[in-house]
Amino acid sequence: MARPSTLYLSLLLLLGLLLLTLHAHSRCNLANDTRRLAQVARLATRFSLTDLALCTEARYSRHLSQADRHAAFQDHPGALEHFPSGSLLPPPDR
Amino acid sequence: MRTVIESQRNILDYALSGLMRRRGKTFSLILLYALVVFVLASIMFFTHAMRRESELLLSGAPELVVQRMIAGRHDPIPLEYGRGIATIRGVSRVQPRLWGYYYDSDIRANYTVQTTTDDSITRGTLAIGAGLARMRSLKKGDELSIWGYDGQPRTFQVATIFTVESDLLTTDLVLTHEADFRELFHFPMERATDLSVTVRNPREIPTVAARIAELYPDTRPITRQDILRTYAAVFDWRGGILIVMVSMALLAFVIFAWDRASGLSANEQREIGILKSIGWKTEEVLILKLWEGAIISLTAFLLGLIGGYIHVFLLSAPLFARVIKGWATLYPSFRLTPFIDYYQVAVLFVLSVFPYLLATVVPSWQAAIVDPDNAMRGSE
Amino acid sequence: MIELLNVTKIYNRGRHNEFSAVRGITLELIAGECVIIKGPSGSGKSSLLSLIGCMHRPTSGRIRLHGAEAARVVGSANPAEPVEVTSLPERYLTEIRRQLFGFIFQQFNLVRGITALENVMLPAYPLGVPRSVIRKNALELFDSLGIAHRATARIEHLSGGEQQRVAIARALITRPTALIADEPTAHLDSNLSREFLAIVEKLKLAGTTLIIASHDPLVYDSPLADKVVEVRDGLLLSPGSSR
Repeated sequence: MARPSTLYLSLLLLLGLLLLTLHAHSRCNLANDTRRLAQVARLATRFSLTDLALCTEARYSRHLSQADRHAAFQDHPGALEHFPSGSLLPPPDR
Repeated sequence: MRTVIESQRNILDYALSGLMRRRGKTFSLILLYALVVFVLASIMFFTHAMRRESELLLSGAPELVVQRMIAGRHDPIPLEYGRGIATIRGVSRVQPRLWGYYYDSDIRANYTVQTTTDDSITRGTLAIGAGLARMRSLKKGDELSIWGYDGQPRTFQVATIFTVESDLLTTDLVLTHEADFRELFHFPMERATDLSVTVRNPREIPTVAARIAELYPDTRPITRQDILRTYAAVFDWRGGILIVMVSMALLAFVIFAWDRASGLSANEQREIGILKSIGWKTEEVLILKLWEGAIISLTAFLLGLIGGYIHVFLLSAPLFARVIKGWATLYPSFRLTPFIDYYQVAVLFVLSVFPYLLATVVPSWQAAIVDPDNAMRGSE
Repeated sequence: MIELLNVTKIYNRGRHNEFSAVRGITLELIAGECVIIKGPSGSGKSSLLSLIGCMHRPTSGRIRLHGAEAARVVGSANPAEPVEVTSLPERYLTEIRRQLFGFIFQQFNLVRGITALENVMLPAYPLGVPRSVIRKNALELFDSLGIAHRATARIEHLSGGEQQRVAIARALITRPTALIADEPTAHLDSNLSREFLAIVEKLKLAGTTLIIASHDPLVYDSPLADKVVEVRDGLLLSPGSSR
């Protein structure tokens, strides 16, 4: 049977190599993706888009940057804000 | 040198066999530890990549958006405001934006309806986001009915479907012709939702914004910088209650791990005493404990980090999607660009590995400085 | 081989629980001899053993080690000159202890949960000997002690006699020049005690110096003993009655 330390050090090496592979994956994709993102950004210019379509369920979370300081509780002073987006994405701090 | 390596390997062997002796505990600890690192690494990767992604995507956003406020609420802005703003020095173009929301009760989703002056959209046609097309199974050329202000549906033809690549910006988007929009929602003529202002020299944007606020005190200019800053804050590593929620779990884990690592059991204490009595030096006992701690924390860190990367960048963070999605039915399908902040990775490494090492080694110190003849004296 | 000159050991010096375990003992141990230290519990036998085994420096008096082995460990230029343990830095003390002496404890002090083999290999790990070599030596010891079939069993699955042999094997793994045993037969029945003495006899024939503390008549009346010294209240009663 192989020494336990040999087995463990090979496991570490394996994980290290996996990490390096992922790092290479990140490097490889970065250039491509950045180009793709620049293309998509041109759409934002073309159609005057201001926000990410990430949380589409409420207007202040859909258009985060366009919401004003009353937005988080806008429907009623006592209204609960939208959960869970509201707890993840704070209203703009201005 | 050879002897040093050999003795280190021998001690490592023994540390491993010691951990294997408590197999169940060791594996559950590594698993739990890795899970914590995995969640933290996922949050870290996700927020950082989202932040960089939104930064790049929204670098194309309007330089300046002017909203009108009435009693603290967003209200349609008169077009004459735009004509006034166009005369401000440095402003090259003012473009009215018409946009709003539409609730589709069939699929229980909110659309963002917006107009465009782009030639690709003529009267009676629409451009829609890929998410929306997917939800309603629409293809190019299909028809989509939208209910108007008067309770009557209007039928439009889908002229364009945005690519999936742009989903993060466009998934719920419905682009219409301006005349259609006004007719559909009975939007007052001579009004717009807000104004998009183009400034010749980007450095003049703050000046122009100040001038607008001065000319029209009931308006609120939002610069591109503001937009970017908002998103930076949203995806800030420290921002987000997520971290707070996770820190609860983290705290529980730290207490558990501390207890596990620091509370030397009678058995471990006895073992250290035996090692000392058969000729191990204090530093060799500490190296043994250091190895034990390193095996657990390093393995868990690597597993968690690799898991986090795969989760976020290869699988598009399915665990977070559920949370961020919330009540939304329309959720963009996007593959995150692997932007990595190495500084954060280093911080995660230091925060996850070092405290554990410390918690294993320090208490062993107490046990390891016992006199080697303790074993003998105990027998008398 | 080992020379003790008017050695004292005081624990907790200057505190209310100050206690003199060894009070001026002079003793010479000769290489290859079997010395039995006899005396009731609390007489200072164990303290004397830990002084001999270089676990401690004496409070006063001198301990000197003769022989090339000790000189080699401390890197002395002149092997003929004895090594003064009393003035030796701490790190040499540990080195001497683990390279010159093997210890057998009353409670065996074996690590539970690991195999007998691993227990025996334990003292050699920090010495930097390759694991395969340690393993080979350990298996040879198991063979010679007649417990080869138990090498891969866990300690807690071994009988008392087997555990005793594992403890002996562990004491021998570093090939010490002297074996120090503290009440080795205290937990053994008379059959096993006799087996132990048989092993001691073999070791003695092989030239190992043996220093055994015991108050078991089976041990101190055994014909194996070259010298029996009696300790009481930290003092030597019969100063090395050689047979």
